[in-house]
Amino acid sequence: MRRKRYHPVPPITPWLFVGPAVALSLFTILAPFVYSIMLSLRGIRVSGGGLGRREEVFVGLANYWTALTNAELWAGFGRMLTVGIITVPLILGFALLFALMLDVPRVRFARFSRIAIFVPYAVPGVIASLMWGFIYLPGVSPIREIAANLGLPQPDFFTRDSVYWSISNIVIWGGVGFNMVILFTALRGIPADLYDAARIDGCNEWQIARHIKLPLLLPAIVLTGLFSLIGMIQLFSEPTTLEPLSNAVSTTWVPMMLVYRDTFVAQSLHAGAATSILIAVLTTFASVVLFWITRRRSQGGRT
Amino acid sequence: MSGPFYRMLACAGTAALFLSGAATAQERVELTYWNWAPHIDEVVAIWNEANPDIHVTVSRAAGAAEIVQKLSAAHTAGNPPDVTNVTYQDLPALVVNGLVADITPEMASLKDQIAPVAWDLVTFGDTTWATPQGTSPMMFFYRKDILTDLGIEAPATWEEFEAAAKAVRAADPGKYLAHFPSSDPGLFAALTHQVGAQWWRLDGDQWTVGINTPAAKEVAAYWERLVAEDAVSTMQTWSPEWGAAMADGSLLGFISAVWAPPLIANLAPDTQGKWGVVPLPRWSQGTGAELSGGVMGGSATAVSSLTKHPEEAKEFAIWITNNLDALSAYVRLMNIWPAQLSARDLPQLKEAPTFLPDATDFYTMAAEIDVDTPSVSWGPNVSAAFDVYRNAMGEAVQNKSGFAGVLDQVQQTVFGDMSNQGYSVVEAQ
Repeated sequence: MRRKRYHPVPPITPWLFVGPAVALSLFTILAPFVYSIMLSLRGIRVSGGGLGRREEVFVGLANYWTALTNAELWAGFGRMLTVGIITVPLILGFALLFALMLDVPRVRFARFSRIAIFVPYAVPGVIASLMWGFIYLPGVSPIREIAANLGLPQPDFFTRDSVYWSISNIVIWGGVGFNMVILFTALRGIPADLYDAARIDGCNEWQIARHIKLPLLLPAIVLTGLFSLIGMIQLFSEPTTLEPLSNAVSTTWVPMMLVYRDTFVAQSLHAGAATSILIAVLTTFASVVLFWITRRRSQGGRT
Repeated sequence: MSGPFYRMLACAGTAALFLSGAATAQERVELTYWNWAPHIDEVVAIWNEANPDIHVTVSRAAGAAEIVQKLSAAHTAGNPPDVTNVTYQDLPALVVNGLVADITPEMASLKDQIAPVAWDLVTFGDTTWATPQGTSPMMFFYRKDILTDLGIEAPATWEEFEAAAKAVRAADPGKYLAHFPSSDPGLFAALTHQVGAQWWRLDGDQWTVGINTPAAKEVAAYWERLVAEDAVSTMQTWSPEWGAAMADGSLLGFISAVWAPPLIANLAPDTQGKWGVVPLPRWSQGTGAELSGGVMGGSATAVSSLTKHPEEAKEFAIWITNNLDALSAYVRLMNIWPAQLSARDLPQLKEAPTFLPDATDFYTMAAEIDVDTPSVSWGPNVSAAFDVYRNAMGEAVQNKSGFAGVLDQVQQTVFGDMSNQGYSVVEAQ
């Protein structure tokens, strides 16, 4: 079995290492994606008289055209972005505030507060939305009851405008804890000698936060910001849970709800697949652009 | 290494042989039956006792709302239930997808025994696709105790209904006579049936879509006025808010059908005996004055096109919707109004429902309402129509205007969707 001395090793070892990962992504990402693309090129036509029979036929890009020209899809993107613009800065702002507060030395009840702030993230979105739904709904809303008892005007959480805040509130409530933990972990990774040096130079805690922690955290904030923005496209369970409760949320309120509606309510798997592919492409594009911009920024700042 | 493994395989093989042997020895036909109704096991138990060689197992795999998608999935996977319950409005979608078997020959002899309203909901052209369970005479349930205190009479016409709704508001701003839920297209469709609207009609191979008829738009305008003047609440049926209002007496009425009492009992058990019932109000003049209501809910039993035991499955489907023992149990447990005419003489139907002990004429009233209910049929894209309605009506309720425009939107969507799919379809004039 002896081979020539300097014969290169057959390049099989690296493949063995990446093999499982490649196989997994082929099965769980690529295969469904390709299948969705195949579905999206087909459609239903009915033949025969009366009720007729549905048949799958090849329709080319017709589903994509329908999706692109569907005003409701773009309106859904608009609503999704509105919620995103409200929630992302607030989630990051609160997460940063809590992380910095918890990182102050000798703060009391740090462990308890950290868990208390994190717990809402562990509550499933549907449960959280149901709970908030109860809090919002006139007739069962404790907030409205308190307002009435105090003689204050009763807030309406389900008008066309206020519903953005009502949904954003649920998203923020659930999202702050997770982002706080990420930022807090990043803070813990900052070498303590930086603080010691700053204190010797006479910095107080506020100045340490402002001039040391914040600049060092920026990459982590950018990362969580990206996560949150990409997370917005997944916005589904909150508006879906509130939909049957009020007149303010439609079944196509955000793009994901439109996909669900097309696929399962309107029984058009093919239209749903086309819209999904479209959303996937747009999301990937937006992520790449955002990532590219932020990377240029952070590299530019480093010189 | 291989020793124990092969021994294990051998064991499994023996077990399999043993099990299959046991199954063939019994020669018993096993049927699965999808139904979401709460007490259905008790009805099926009667069948199982009487038919030891055809055993039916109930499965609650799907609720009423998701039956089409779940049946499609099970059908594609090759293991659909042999028999399934389906709402009338979802039946066409099952037919179009090829999920249910044609039961025309088996049903032919029953035609004279089944209420025409129900028959027309399961028959398209000359083909019968399911066996109807019941019909849905529409009624208005109201809090007798509170309305009496307020000195307001239960309305018999829609004009009286409007006056009563406003009188309730004037007497107590914390109460409403009724609510108008934008999330319940089935209710609104039924209210337009009452003025003769035929959302879908099939003549030969020709479909006619008639959702935005002038009379239906007048119904829309009526409700728009009530909503705009805050005479009715706009909460959604089945929301926690609605449940609370039904229980605490801030909502005094419920427009629904014969099957409502057990549902109200569930929501507001403490109000037993406090409710009264009248037929759905009528229009005192104009289109539809002769009609008592529309088709709201109701379900039928269909047989899978893939069942391995079509004879037994059809026999069971017909039994559970037509047999007097089955229907007697159904009436006792679920307040249905049977489509099978001979079952309307059942002794249980001479009594008041448990929840409405004073309404001794409940089923007599149902029979009278049924006579004046127009025959309608559902179409192949009910779910799309209902979805558009929910969204558009939700918005219209927020704006307190544009109710009639909602019907235009639904009409356009249904018509466009059917044309796209390849149906021969026209719009009603």
